[in-house]
Amino acid sequence: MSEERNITVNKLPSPTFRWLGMNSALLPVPEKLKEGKPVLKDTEELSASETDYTLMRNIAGGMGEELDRMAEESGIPVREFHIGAGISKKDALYISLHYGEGEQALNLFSIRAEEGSELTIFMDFSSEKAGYAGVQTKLSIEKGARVRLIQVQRLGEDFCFFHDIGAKTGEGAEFDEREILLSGRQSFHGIRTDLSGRESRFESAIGYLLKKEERLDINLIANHIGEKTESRIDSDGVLRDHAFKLFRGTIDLRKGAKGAVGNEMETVLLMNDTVVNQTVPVILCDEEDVEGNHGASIGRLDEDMLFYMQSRGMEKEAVYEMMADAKIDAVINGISDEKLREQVKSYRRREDEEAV
Amino acid sequence: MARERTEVNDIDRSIYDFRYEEKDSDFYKIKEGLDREIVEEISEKKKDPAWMRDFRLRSLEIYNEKSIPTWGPPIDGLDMKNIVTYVKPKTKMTADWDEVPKDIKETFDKLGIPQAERKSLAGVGAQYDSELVYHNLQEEAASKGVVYTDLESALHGPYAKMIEEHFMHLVPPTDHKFAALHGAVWSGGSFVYVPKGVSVEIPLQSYFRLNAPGAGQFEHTLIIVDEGAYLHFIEGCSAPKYNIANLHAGCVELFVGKNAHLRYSTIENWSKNMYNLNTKRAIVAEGGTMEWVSGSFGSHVSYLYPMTILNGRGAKSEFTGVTFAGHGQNLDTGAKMVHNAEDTSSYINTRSISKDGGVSTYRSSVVIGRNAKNAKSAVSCQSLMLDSDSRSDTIPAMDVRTQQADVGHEARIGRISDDAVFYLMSRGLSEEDARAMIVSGFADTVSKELPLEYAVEMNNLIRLEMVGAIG
Repeated sequence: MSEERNITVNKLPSPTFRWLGMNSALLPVPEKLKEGKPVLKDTEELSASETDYTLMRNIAGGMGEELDRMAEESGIPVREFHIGAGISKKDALYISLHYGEGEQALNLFSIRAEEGSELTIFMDFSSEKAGYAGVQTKLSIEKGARVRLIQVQRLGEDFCFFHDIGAKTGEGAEFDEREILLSGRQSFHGIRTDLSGRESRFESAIGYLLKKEERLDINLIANHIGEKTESRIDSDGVLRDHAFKLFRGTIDLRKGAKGAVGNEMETVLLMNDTVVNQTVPVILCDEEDVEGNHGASIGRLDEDMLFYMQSRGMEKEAVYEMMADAKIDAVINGISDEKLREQVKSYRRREDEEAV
Repeated sequence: MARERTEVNDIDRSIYDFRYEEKDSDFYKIKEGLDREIVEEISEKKKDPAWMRDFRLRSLEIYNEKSIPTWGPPIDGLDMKNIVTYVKPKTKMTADWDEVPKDIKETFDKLGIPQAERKSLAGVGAQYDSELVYHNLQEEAASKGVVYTDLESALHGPYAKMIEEHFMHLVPPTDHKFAALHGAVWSGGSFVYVPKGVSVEIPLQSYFRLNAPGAGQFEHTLIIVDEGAYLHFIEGCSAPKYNIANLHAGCVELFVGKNAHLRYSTIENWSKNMYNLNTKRAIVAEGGTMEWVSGSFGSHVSYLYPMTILNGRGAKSEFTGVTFAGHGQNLDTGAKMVHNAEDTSSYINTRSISKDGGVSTYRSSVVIGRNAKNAKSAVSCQSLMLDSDSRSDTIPAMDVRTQQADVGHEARIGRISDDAVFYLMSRGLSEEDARAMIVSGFADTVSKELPLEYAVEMNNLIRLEMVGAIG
């Protein structure tokens, strides 16, 4: 990598004890980043254009302001995809980025879904062994519109990657975000959704499988601003070898968000004694008439379940492997589009074969 | 139709707000602020051994180097230049209640301390401003070899070496800025030693009263419960309200020996001008048990997170806490658990209530170290918002570094459920009674653990009066 600097990203909206080292992350940024070359498919019914950073600036991402500044100063153009009012796009917009060996790339995407539209975006990030790439995606989801964003990450073992997502929802709008993170040496993910419109919804499902020396740093924020807004965050993952993961999940129930409900659930299966799992699930509440819930389960498999499986003739290691697979499959199975679901499963199988 | 609501009254603190105007002739007050000269003067007044004097000065240096926390409630209303760090009543500590000066005696009489001692305590320590004015241990406990004395006496007595070996070893002054402040200006507090195998059947209690306006209280509590021993220690705190900031930066260090059991209960009812920046920590040896019961009702700002280090195989800890934040209060409370050995277990169970603009934050950390195989930890924190002027946050953190661990966490923030009210009303309760029952029930799982039966004054403290102001 050429000369690089560090910027502070993934700040916890309400910081905690400094000695835990969980309040933020340092993201290395190479001095020079070029625009990655995405392969786009199924862009019919969308208008695509090149634009400046204005809309991007108006929507905050999960990784924070320093990343916005870096992205804006990079001079890399913003690719905007716009779906008109009432249009329901049948096939998913497919954005594939494959990074070559040693590549250092940045891509900026702006998605604008007008009133009552429906759009699915499938993002596929893959790479050769080493390199650096960043993606920023900002979404404006207007009244009654529905956007699904599915991303699959299958990067090289010495690859550093970040994806910053910011979304703003209008009245009755829905944003469904799914991440399947299968590899990459160092990954940073920031997801922030401002549920501004009344009765808008945000759902996030993250599945990850980390191994060797891989590190994953996530900052997920659901800001409930409008009345009767709903959020659901599910994070499900497996850590093995010397993997490290830090998950910050914040449900912010702001004043005026009457009737809002936020739910967050995290489960992490630890496969080795050398992994590190850090979790900060935060609920901030400035309104009485709301509900916020969080649950977490971290560690080994449930003893009763393990005993049952072993009594059926399975080895302990095999049970762990099966459950690890099941966690990722659960996120994949949540993809409603059958074609996309099968595509992700085929990636998953390929990852497994390469790992053997 | 506007939602009907029931008001929950703030806790009645009027009983704690009586105060005696302190005449200069009755007290010795050090000058305001914090510098080397002040620290040296405190050390001299207290006739510190040389090591303690050096320790204080080193702590002052650390204090000057450390920054204030960047993560908790604002403490900009606290200016150390205006705080008097040492106020000594012109009386000697005594074990005879009749010898305590009249004004001070009446203060503690009103708080019910001597009555509680007679009824249900094995020993009592009473601190007024910076010094203990009364300390007594019942003969039965003393005959078993239990030591319960003020820390200054212990520093010069047969336990001096033990104090030197333990004092601020668990909470070093480098821990944070207010631990350093404590190290520099600490005064008062208790030393308890329970010998091997001794079970102190009835509790000991220390009561801390800060009476002087603009003063700080920096008492140090050091408890060593030796192998197989048992102790229940109760700590109570209160102060009258003034218009200027007061500061409490005490420190509690608890050493729980092999298979020993310590229960440490605290009722904190400082006045609403108090900055309560207290540090409590316990280390538990093999098979030992540490129980914390904590009620936080007072203070303008609180930073309070008792830490337990489970250092021996099979060590256990349980933290039970209730926090009630009312008007003008920002209470940041919780617990820290560090699992450092095999088969350790911890459980945190808290309830927070916010009302009338109060801010309540539950903050915790659970750290499971690499060698804590078969560690188990469970956290349950629930918060109740009683109006939209208030705020309630939960900020738990977990750091797990071994596969062989079971860590569970559940948090819930919400309001009084309409369904529950409806159900109770269908059973014949009025809406007002139904809501009252729900709030009482919410705090009850925790508040029933509070040592009300021992500390008589606590009967005056927790008054969650539900008033039928519906409509």
